[in-house]
Amino acid sequence: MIDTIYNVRPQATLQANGINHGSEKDTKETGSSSRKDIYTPGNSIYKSECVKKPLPPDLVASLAEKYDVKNMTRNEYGSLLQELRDSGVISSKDFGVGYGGEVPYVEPDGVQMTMGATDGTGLEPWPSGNEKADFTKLLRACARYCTDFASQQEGESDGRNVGNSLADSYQRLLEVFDQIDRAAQRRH
Amino acid sequence: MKKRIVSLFLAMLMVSCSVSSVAFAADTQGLDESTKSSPLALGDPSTGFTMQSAVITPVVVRPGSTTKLALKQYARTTSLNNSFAQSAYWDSFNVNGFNQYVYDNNYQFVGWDVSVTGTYTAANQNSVITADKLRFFEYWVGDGEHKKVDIQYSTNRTATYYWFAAIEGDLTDYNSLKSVFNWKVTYIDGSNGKITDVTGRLTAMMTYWPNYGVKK
Repeated sequence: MIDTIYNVRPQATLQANGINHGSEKDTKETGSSSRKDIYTPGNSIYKSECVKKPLPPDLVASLAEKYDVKNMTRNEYGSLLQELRDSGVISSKDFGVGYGGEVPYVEPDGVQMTMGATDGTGLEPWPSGNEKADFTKLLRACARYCTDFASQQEGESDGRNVGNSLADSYQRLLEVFDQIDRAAQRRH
Repeated sequence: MKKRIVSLFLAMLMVSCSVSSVAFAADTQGLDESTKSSPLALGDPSTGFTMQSAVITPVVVRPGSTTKLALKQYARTTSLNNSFAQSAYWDSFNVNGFNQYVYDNNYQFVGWDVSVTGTYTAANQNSVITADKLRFFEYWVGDGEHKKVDIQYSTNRTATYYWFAAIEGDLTDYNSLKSVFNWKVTYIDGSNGKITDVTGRLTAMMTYWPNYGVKK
């Protein structure tokens, strides 16, 4: 029963000076204090596009012992991606996409409203700090979102290429995560 | 004497209760489901838009591409309290690894998606006093144009408002952006039937330090 009545354009103002963190500060921020969330540098997606190797059974077993892909913190997720990249199982591009949680962003026309708790992408927020999440679910949602985005773009457009490229990366990560999850289930 | 005072007090209390019950029965007639009274509960909300959380997500573009990318991994959520003037922050020096990530991937940083989630609330929903009745929700960012929505059937519903806060011009070593989301709820005051406004805002403050902690 919500009716849009007027149009709106957002107006963000660039501040020349520093910001005062003291005003209106009665809030609790989650996640930003997580100092362990360290990106491992040196592998730009443009520097190397290594061919992915199949996941060796012994590596699957060892990763399944260390990581619960359905119940991980963000830092554990980052460490797992790093191990997969360093062992050549995923490409640097897949690592970059998965690590950043990259999804296409459609700039809203002014301030937009949606019912329920979500953000501009409509995707569930990723866990922060010590929160744990099912990363197979998050990756699946990102893959679906990127595929849907690509399908809505014109053929051969930049948007379609980017959307498909991101979706491919998420699909590859999902395949690997599913293998690790299956191995973990067999162990139990 | 003491006994008489106690009796008088009890009698007054009984009369008061029966008057309240009559008033309560009359008040609830014609109210919609969302505002019908139930037994008094603690923590009855104030009338307005009770903001619960704000999410700030950085947005970049790849070189040679026009498609913007939101980086979910680097989004930060701020839990808000019940006050109507709130702030949320995103600082790249606090989001470890972010500056390096952008540098390594040669991304161009363009701004932030900011979203605020809250619930439309009316005071006295759970009391014997007539509840306020919501009418309109007006919102805008900065000095931008205003939008207005009908919220008379939206009491206790959760909604999210989101927008893109763009960094204008060339990036420098320190880029700071303040984006203020303002709202105004118009409602009918249950106690006197008058049309009343209540306002609130979320101030989102973001900074991006492209070179901070970056190994080149």
